[in-house]
Amino acid sequence: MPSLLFVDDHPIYRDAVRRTLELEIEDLSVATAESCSATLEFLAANEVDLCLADYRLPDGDGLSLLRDIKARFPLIAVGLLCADLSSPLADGATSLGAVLCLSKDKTSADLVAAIRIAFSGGKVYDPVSGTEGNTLSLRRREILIYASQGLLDKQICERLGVTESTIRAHWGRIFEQLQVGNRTEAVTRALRQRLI
Amino acid sequence: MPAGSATLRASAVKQERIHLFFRTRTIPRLGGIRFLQAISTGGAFYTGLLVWLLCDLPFIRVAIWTFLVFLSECFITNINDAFRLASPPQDTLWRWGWAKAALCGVNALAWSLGPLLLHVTGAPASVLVPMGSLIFFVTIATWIVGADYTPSMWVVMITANVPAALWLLSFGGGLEQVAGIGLLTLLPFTVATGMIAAGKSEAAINNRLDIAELLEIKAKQAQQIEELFAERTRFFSAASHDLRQPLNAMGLYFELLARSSEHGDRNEIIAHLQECAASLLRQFDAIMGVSATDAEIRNASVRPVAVHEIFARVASTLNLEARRKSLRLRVPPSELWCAVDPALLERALLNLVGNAIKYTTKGAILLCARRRAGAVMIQVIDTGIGIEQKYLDAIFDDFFQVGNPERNRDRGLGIGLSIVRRLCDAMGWPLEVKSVVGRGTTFSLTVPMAEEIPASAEVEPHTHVERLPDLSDQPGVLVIDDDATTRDSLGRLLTNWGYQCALFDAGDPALHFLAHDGAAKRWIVLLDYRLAGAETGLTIADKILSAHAGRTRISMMTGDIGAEIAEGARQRGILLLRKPVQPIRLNALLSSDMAAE
Repeated sequence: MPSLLFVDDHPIYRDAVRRTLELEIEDLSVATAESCSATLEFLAANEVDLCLADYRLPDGDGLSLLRDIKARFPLIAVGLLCADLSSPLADGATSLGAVLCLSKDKTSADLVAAIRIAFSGGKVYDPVSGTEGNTLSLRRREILIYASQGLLDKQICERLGVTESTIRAHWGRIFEQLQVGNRTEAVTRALRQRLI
Repeated sequence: MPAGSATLRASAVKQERIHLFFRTRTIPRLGGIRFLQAISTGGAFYTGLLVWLLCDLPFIRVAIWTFLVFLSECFITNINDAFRLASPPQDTLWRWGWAKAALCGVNALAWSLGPLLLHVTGAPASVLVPMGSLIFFVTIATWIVGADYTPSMWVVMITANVPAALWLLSFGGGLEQVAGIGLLTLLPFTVATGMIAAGKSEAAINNRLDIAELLEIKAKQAQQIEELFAERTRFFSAASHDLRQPLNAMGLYFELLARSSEHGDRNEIIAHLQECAASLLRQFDAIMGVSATDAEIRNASVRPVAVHEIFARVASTLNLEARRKSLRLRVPPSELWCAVDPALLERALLNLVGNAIKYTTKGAILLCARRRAGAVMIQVIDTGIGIEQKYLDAIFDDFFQVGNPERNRDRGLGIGLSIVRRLCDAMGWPLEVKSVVGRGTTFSLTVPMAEEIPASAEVEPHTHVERLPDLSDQPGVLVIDDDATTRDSLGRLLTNWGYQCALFDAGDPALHFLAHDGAAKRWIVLLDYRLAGAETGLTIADKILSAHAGRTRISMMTGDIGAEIAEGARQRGILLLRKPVQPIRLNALLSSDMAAE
């Protein structure tokens, strides 16, 4: 059973994220912690696949926390979810090998999609504010994940609750953004770039 | 001080000297008579009187000399008054300066006539007294008046001294010749003191100009701060107004939500609440965008950039939005280069083009660049609703929107153009707008041109596409598992992620591979604990570690982590990976290995 530890000092936000993820992702168990010390204590006693932390914490900063975790538990995937993502933060996350580097200003659907991508082995890095990158949107990455699992467009649109023509429009943009000609190439390229 | 301002300062000093040269002091209550005029005339008369008393001198000579001195002083008074009346422009100042210098020369010549007119043969006093007073005159003229304007100082010095000295020398002997030589030998000393006086005057003028300049700078800064404060206040009052509206609405909706019992009602209220939250977030982002822009401006780094590069990025961001409104976004190719901070120019253009799209319902938007007098003029032309003349200035203010007096926030926030204005003001890019209501609007932005940089020399290729990992120094992954399905699925996943993979069902072939084909590479070893045959993962791990310790990193996959296995793994520094291996765990393992490099 996949498990996640979410570290944030804001009780309401912490609860909202926990509820959202548990509701939307089957089988995912979500634990929460409010500080660096509580996190390390929890990890010493429990198995967790992914630790997602805010940057601003009462007894330290998220990046140092994740660095500690990486040093002590190399097999735990780590990620950052913070309010204002800056390029030093994103660089820090990259050098840690974090699988997620997300900004908080996203819809719950986007957050869920990002977590799903992480659990399927991909990485999601939000564009740093101010430098809008030409990155693949989360919805398109979700489509690529389903496609990589061998699903047909028809099945994908059922899963996502949209029409088939929407999916086809997405494919057009995916090909454009990844500069590829067909679905197989797109999936391969996305896997290579760790977009999914 | 930079060279430009140094020459400016030099000419300012020159002008100031001429002004000082024409400055006069009058005697209190006798407005028409200058102080120096009175001293000069009075001095001449007193000298004459003294000689008349001491020697046998006809009084008419005293009167003539005094009158000549008075007359020449009157000329100077006249030109002073004329100068004040005319207050001549800067480029004619030098003519006035020379004219007054000439008149001062005439005055000096009149003084120089003193020894001649007052001379009485055989009376030493008639030589010594005029000579003494002449020396007094030269000294005073040099120190008080001449120092302000050096040409006049030299003219006065020479015309006062030389004629009198030459006339006295012409006697060829006696006291007269001694006095003549005395006057001439005095000349170098007068020159030296004159130069000192001129230097002092110049230093004083420089000090005064420095102070004036500082005061001006201070006043300008104070004004800038005041403007900044006013702008901030305006910005925050507008922003708080816009933020308060959705907050107030949310308060109302929450009350309704608490009271309503019907399911349908509640859903509707919740939908409204979501809208409010989304709107708050949007506005907050826009406001933060403004402060982010301010920060970016402070860190701006200007470098040569190809215009088409920036255009391409703007077009790729906004193409979709234009297409959604069935508008054409035309961007003709440009070969120009400009010297800008690319991120800032892109932001300005994104706002301008985004704005054009927002206010255009049909037709096209043109983004183009052309050469204009050594600069690059970038234009954003739309066929939109246009802007009335009276609003053309206001559109650059924060939160102003054409045709949206009710401040409907679904139509954007009215911050975009104010960001553009901030950027352009800060970077010194002239920004113009022309508009015809109903026909469209043209924004023109002029940025400095730059020399093209050949592609290879470009400092920093600006790409956001995630780079493929460099395969050459990335470690490969070696999988040892006797289960074909696990092996196959791991192999496929890892190959897809771009890792070089080697799959083995037992330890010996893997060791052989590490020693031969795979000898040149580092390997991350994924080792199954339970293998067919007598070997366990731990025994294979020992063999690998003893032969290839430096370039391998071993992780052991196991279904159940017993205490014995855990202890064995810990002793060897091996990580334990629980089976079935989850992709996220594999990712964590691989990335921590990469990060450990």
